[in-house]
Amino acid sequence: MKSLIKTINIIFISILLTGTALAQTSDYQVKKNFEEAHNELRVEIETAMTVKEVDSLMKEVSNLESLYKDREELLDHALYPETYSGSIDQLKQNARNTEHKLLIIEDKDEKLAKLSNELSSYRSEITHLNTRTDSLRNLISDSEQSEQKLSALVQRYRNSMEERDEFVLNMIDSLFTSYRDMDSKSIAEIGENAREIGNENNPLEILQVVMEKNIQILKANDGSLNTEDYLRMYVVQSRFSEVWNQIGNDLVTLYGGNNTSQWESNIEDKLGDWKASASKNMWASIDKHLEQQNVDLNAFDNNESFYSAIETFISNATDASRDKVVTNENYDDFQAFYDFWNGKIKNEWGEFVQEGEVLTMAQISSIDTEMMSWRDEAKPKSFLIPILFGLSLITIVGLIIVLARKN
Amino acid sequence: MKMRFKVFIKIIWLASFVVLATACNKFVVENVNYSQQIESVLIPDENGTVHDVRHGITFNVEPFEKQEFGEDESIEIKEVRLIRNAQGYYFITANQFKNVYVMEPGKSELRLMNKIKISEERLNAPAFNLRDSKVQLIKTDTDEIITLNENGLQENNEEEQS
Repeated sequence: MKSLIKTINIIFISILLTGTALAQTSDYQVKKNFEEAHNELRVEIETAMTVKEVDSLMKEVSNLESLYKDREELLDHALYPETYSGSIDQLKQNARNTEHKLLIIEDKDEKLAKLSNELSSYRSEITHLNTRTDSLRNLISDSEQSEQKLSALVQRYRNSMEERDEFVLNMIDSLFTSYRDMDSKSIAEIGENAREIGNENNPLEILQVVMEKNIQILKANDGSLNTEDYLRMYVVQSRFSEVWNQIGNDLVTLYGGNNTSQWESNIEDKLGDWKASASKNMWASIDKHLEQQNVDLNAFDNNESFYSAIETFISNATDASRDKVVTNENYDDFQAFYDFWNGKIKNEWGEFVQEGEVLTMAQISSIDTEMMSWRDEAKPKSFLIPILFGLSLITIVGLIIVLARKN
Repeated sequence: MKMRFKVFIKIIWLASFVVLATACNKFVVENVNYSQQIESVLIPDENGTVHDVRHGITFNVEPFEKQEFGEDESIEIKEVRLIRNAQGYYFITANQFKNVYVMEPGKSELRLMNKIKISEERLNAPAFNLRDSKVQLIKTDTDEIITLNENGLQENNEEEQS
């Protein structure tokens, strides 16, 4: 409405001034009226708030051009060193620039609205999943039901955790996709509007809730979760940290309001806490699993020490197998570790092991090679052929002796 | 005889020098067009001085005030309008004037060439245009157009209703 009134004003003033100028036929007045109309349009173009308004002003520029076209020669003299066509072209260029700028801003506004809607749905879903997971966990801890029913509850809890983690991964991937290509100019352009987003839809709040919930679950460590769950949670944390490192600054700039440094510090602290808890639980869970399989590795609590522990274990086992060639005991040890290595690390947990870099591909490949050496050494040797060979030899010698005696 | 011949030669040399010097002084570029395509509207400063930056002229309007209004200090020139024709004469007028002053530029001076009386009534919102190298005075309140040259009003003035 405001833009319509402005446009009507411009049309009215242009027609009035130009009409008056033509009636007076004073060249100076024609020049003055043109300059006034030109300046008015220039200011209106500079301060236009919408693309629609600029479109309307572009039409006014064309009207101005038509109205003064027959005074071009006069205006070229009057506006020297500018020219009539130069002045009109400048207005058109300004209008195009403003339109381009407004299109970008409108695009950013749309993008921001879309992001806000996404964030709103993330928040609802996260809340829903957290509530469900919490209630399942409470049910488990308060449960006095039969073991079978308790086991079903634990399974439901684990499934719920898995669903929640998958959702968090999708959410942070989506956030990353939305914000990664934003340059500093775009961030500045939408920053002002972003500040209007309420706390409930502030991505920083949502991310904080996600982190706090994960820390709470990991610290509770109530025994309901198994190694696969902890590996998945470790991967979620790693991916979260990775995305935060790439878009965290932009998010804080956009949504941190006046407390950007405080937000940054809070989130960094929570990320650190989350990482420590996820890492501790995950390594402890792998260690516990190995203990249950009677595989005794050296202590480990990170990628390097885990790899080193496996390598040492295989190396020692290979040496031991080399020394004890007659028994099957070493081959049983090999088989137990092989089941863990191939069944768990490479297959069942393979996706998380690789994504969370619990072991790198190069480390896995190196251990595979060592496993082959161990298998060769641990494999029980067969004495059947040498015995058969000996028996054959004795038989032949016996036959030769018998034949010799007959002769 | 010899003496006379020497004097004659000197006279010839002197005459040649004078002719040459005179020829140098008469170096003239003709067909110069001084016309200003659009009038200048100038606002006097506190001292009554106007500056036309674009056309490079500065002068004081008080002599025109005295010419038009005498000692009556109640009327002051708020803006002065001037235009230059092809011959280089300045045509100067202002609101409340009855005349157009045709001024000839000289060394650091504008000398009155002609004072053209436009009407008995004081002019209300006059303006100059240049059409076909001729200066026109527009009486914007009545849309009357008066063609002028340095000698005065030109014939074939017409009333134009735009």
